Amino acid sequence: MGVAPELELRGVTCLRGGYLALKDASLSLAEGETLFAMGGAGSGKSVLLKTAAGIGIPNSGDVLYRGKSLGRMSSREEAAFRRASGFVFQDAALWANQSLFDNLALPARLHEPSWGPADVDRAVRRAADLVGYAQDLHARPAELSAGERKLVGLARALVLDPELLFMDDPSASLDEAAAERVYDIIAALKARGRTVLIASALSELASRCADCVAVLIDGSLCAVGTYDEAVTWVDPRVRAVTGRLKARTATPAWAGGLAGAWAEAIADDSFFLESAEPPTGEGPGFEAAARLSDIINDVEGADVATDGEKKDSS
Amino acid sequence: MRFRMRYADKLVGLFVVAAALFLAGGIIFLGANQRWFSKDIRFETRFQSAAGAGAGTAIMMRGFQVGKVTKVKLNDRNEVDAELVIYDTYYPKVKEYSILELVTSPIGLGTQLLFHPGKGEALAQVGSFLPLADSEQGKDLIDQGLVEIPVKDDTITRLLAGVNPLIENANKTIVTINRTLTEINRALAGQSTGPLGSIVNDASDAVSHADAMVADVSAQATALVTKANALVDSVNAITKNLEATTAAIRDPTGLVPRLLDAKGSIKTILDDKNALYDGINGSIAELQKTLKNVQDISASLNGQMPSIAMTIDEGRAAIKQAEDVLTGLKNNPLLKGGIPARVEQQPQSMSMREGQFR
Amino acid sequence: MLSKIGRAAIDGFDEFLYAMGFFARVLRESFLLLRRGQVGRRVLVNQILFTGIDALAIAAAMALAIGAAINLIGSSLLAEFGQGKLMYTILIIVITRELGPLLTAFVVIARSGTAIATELGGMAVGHEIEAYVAVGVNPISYIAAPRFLGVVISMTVLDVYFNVFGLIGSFVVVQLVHPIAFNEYFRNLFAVLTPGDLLSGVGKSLVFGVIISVVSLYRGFAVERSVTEVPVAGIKAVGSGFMLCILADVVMTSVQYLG
Repeated sequence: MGVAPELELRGVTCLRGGYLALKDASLSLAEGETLFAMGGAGSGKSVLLKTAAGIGIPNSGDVLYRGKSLGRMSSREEAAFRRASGFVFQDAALWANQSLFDNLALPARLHEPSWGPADVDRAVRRAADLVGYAQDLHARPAELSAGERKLVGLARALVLDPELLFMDDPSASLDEAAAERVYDIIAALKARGRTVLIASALSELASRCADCVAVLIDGSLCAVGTYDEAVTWVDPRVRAVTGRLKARTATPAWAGGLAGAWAEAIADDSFFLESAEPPTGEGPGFEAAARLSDIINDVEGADVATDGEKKDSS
Repeated sequence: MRFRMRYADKLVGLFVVAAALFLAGGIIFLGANQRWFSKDIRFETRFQSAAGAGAGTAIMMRGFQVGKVTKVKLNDRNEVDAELVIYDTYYPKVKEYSILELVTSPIGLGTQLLFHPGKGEALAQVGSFLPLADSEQGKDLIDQGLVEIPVKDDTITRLLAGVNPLIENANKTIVTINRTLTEINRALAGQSTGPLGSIVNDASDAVSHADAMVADVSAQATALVTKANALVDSVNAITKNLEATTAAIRDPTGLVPRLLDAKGSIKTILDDKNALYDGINGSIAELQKTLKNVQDISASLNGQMPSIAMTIDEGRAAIKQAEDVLTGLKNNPLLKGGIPARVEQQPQSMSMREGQFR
Repeated sequence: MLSKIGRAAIDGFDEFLYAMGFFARVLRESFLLLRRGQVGRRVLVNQILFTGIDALAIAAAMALAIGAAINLIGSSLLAEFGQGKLMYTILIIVITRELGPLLTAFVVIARSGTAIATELGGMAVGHEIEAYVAVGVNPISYIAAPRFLGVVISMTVLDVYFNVFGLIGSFVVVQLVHPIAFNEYFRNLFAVLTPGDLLSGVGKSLVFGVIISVVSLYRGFAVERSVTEVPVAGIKAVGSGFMLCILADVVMTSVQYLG
């Protein structure tokens, strides 16, 4: 069998408020794969995603990350799983009583205790720049529009450059430009070999970057297969969901050159902060990162206040 | 708001630390007050009953708490073994032959555990047995005169209980007599506006007060010592005299006309063998005797009740005043020559009335 | 009918077990929090700021009023019966033993119990708690434990202040009406006060703090998805907080006086 899949669901059943939200769902996701969970409203996409991400606990069945059951992980193993995974909530789910900066900084502060405030600051700003949110990071989530919150929520999931990303309806409540950026980011993540699990009802997004497609109807996984298979599915109930998927003619953007500067930037390992130092060096690989660092330096120069008050009144 | 958030840590620190200090201070103060840090010397005793002498009962000596009972236990012979401590500062008083006495207040103010030091030379040994006054051992020690014991406390309480109402009644009588005399004086001076009948009624009241007083005292007569018996006799004498006096002026209808009538007039009352004067003066003399008796008794109470002495002094002053009035009556300016000057110094509070009489 | 009652009993028992398990986890995480500090420290500080310091004024006002009332009764009514010293016993019983912890608990329930339950309810509705889980933050250790500790600490500390204001502050107030010598007042007071009284007061406020915080946290976490559940959680936190505090008070008081 070789290497264990990155993520595997085995007969997962979830009860939510007395009804079966997920029935005996099994699927597996290899490293670097992008899986689209498609289905109508209330079909159990979100439950599937949350259960796979270990946020919801299945009533029966098992979720395995690299062959290890989430329910039987030690706290150290669980921390490693959380460090390596990111979750983008449908409604952003930012912590309302903390500033945006603190929202973005919490994963870094939690999982990278060795980072100094400057490292955290840099990582936070890069993530914010990446999703295209360039406004005041000391605002509270309540001051933002739904679309902006969504972007910040995405940035929070990306701060630690996760190898496994869960995205619950990533393009919801976004305007077209922002949605386009999200596509770019997904493509860039794919290009970097990240594993992505997306719940979405939008065929367009799937057409652009899905490797595999799973169709959920009333909590049951009716069909699971590669994108190319999905295009050929004939079951009318499944077709109702996947009907608008188009067979790919052109080579996908992520297969060759990256789509857009942002994707380029994200493809560079040094974009995500491993060290606090801006990347130095020669060659095309460093250009984007260096350019970004310059932008970030400008931003930092303009706005020195980094570690302002962190409130959570309760 | 900003201030609050900026100094949140300091505020919370202050909040918690100040409370901790208050709590610690309270505990230390409490400990100091409850002698946690003082050494107490342990002794033992035995009660017939632990009623009124449970753990925590204070041990008193001349009004000071010198220790307390720490533990009581019913033993096999149905007696109560008790452990007690004497505070270290009072330990030098715990000589050999010291005893304890359990006194129950007759007027329901609870019990007191009294400590009476022994007359031995050496200190009683730590943990030794201190007998109770009514135990065989305790009685022996008292009979042998080995215990420094003040006048029997229970007798004192009983006496006090008897004397207190007595004094009060005597005082009331004096006041009434005094008032009667004043009124008479005013009537004689032609200033009186009230009917003379009320004066007489007051006098009767005084008599009934005295009666009640006698009954009260008689009821306790058996319990009182001989001096108290003498007191009752004196009080009876006052009562009789007062009754006689009242009878002498019982006919108020005739009095005023007689006062105004030049012939019958005051001269008749006063010169009629000085009947009124002698009557009232007689009762006052008796009263003075009573008060002297009371004073004698209270003198033995060792000044424990300064209020008794004060009442007596006031009574005496009033009596002197009454005497003055009577003398004034006798030497009525209509007849003779005024109140003679007293050589004795008058209390200052009397000066107002003095002016009225002159 | 019978099966309905049976099911209700089983559900109730299940909920009780669940609540106990929740309580145990909160306790464990609180100990861990105390040991390692940092994460959640800010939440703890803010909780004490809100529950303790902000409630100080109202607790102090109540303590002053009650203390002054007892002082006035003691110096007029009781003195008439010749039982003026009974005032100190009453002061201790009312302020230190009985009303102090209970009134402080009521203030804390009304202020912080509702606040915690509704805040957590709001967080649950906004998926903020799930977001914590997703990031790898244990919600019990990051959300519950600091609030639990904050409320317990604030309750205990507030009770101490209630005593300070009730016993010392009322003395000052009464000076305006009926002067008593400072020395006499405190000698008499501390003659009546026993370590048991202090222990009882502090113990009660500790227990009330635990009850209030666990109940409101539990009610807050119980909110699932609807915004309408949030105020219900607040109401339930107040209702069961009051009931459990009174129940615990009755039990503790009976144990003290009977045992």
